[in-house]
Amino acid sequence: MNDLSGNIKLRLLLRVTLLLIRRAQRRAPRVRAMIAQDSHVLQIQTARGAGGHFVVGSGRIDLRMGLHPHPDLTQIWRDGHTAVAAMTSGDETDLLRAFELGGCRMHGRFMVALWFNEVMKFARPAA
Amino acid sequence: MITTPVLIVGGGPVGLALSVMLSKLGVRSMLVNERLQTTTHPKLDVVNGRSMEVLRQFGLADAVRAAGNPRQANQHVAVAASASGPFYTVLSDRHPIYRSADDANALARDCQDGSLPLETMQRIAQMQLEPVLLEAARAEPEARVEFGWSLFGFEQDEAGVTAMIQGPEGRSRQVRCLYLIGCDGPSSRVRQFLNFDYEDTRDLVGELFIAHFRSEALAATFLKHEPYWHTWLLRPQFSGLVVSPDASRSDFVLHRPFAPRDGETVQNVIAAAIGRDIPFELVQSGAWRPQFLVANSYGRGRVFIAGDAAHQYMPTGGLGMNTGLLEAHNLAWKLAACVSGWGGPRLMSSYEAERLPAARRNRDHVKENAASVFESLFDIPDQLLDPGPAGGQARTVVAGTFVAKVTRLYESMGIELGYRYEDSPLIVGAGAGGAPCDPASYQPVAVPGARLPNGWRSDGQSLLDQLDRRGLTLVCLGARADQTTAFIDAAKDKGVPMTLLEVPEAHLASLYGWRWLLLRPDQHIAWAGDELPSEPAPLIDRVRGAT
Repeated sequence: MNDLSGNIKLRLLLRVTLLLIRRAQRRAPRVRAMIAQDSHVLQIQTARGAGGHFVVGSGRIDLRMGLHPHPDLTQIWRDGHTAVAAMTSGDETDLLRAFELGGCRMHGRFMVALWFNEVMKFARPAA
Repeated sequence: MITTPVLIVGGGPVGLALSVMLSKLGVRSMLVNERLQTTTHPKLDVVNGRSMEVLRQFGLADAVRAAGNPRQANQHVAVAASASGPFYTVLSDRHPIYRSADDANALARDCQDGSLPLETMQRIAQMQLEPVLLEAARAEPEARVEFGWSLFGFEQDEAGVTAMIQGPEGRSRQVRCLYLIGCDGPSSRVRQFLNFDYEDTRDLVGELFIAHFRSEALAATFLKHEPYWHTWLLRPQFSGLVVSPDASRSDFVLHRPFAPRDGETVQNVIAAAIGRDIPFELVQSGAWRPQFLVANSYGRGRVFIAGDAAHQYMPTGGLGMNTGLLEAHNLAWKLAACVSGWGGPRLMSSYEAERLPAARRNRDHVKENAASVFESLFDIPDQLLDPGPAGGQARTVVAGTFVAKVTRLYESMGIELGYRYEDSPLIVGAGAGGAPCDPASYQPVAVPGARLPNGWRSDGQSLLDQLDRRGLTLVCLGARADQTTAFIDAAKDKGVPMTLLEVPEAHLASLYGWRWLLLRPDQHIAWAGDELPSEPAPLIDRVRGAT
């Protein structure tokens, strides 16, 4: 039950994130340029496989639920709650804390994480 | 009112080096620095090979070496469970950068293909580097250095800049100068007054943590009492980097990805990094935010910025101050040319055209480096510290990943030496050099815009050492030197100092691939050809920024 609610929160967060990024894409030239110039797949999932992946390419960003066969960067969170707590934090360091303590594992190119952090700087609503 | 040709704001390594360079070029300058003394924090830990070449050109290299890591001490890089081991691998000789300065410079002396710098890197803390540069600046007849004074504001007009500086007890003075250079660090007032912003986004990594500590006991755990330069820490649930800026001292700097957690103290974290119960003294610690930022402009009119005022880099590759020193080097000869009258109206604005692309290149490199460091932490096996075969295998894998991912921070001769001024309005044939230099491996090519690869004369002297730092050098590589009259006369007509350097050695003609090279005071190739132009005046005017 706990897993289920965490997974639902994570999926919801990913959908909201997509909306926020698309809004930033309309409003911020920097985000438009970043989405236009890059091409990658960022997968955010739990250890049990719940989650989704952002696909960036051809000037678009999309979100697909489920797992991608070859993501450029995968964040594997211990569970949905841990993922949501770190991802909704305004402090990028929380990702590193979770990473060192084993709450999150990663595979792939970390440049994709830096790309995502930068986009979220524009997309996240001002506190 | 004080009058001086150049006012330098900021007395860090870049500002101090610029004041020395200007004096050596015969230009008076005044440097003001808000702080009363040089830094007490270790800060940077490397002056790279290209920077050492520049310091050598101005007679500073030996003093910098004497203040830093002993010439025969190691510059090893390791990855380990803790600063006292066990070590998974130690990089000691797979690249010249890991060797002692003496060994690496011996390699450079034997290098005939131009692929190594004239001077190898120097491991040194900023708190040891700054006093050397300050002493050198204070000894210069044309350099006036005032610590305890800061810039209050400035206005520029067609003929110069009027600045207001404020000193002890609120005293203020006016300074009238031809040029103002802001070397005043990340929070540069000069940059802010110019209303320049960064072209990048801040705070992509978050808040990291740094602690400066001293420990004789830790230093004593290393062979010959010489700590490795960098020891990367990697074990389950702990990562970091311990830097020893100088193997002859007991100062260490611990970098961690975040500040101590709830229930932890800085002392706990340092003890965990050391990995043994041995004494240490905490000197200072704090959080900081690494950046990948480059200013969107490098100057306007008669006011320019350099060093951390112009860019801020995460120190993954040691390119912050080193990029700044090359900016000072680029500025110095141009300022000297303009002050002494042979610099043209476009000479100073070429600073941005040349150095801004180099700063962007270095920013991209340190960002890739940072990502690569994080990637090296991705797969730490749980059995990494097991005493049995599984542990041994895990340590071998971790060592291999470390070499694959982290050595790019160190083995980056292409970044250090391979930058080219391809967008420069001063370079004839700029951009014709083909593909950009690979970041890791430097290809010594003598193309316009590039730094001249070092070559050794038959008498054992370095060609770089023989270039004129005050003017242009026309290098004649086996061609007939008696054809140069028109060329030298054209330079003389414009007041440009010109030195003719005859180089009959066939191996150098072969290395460079041209019969003629025109070198700028900063050792960059302004023009290359097999025949001298029949009308040399347009070429001279281009190089001095007059057209």
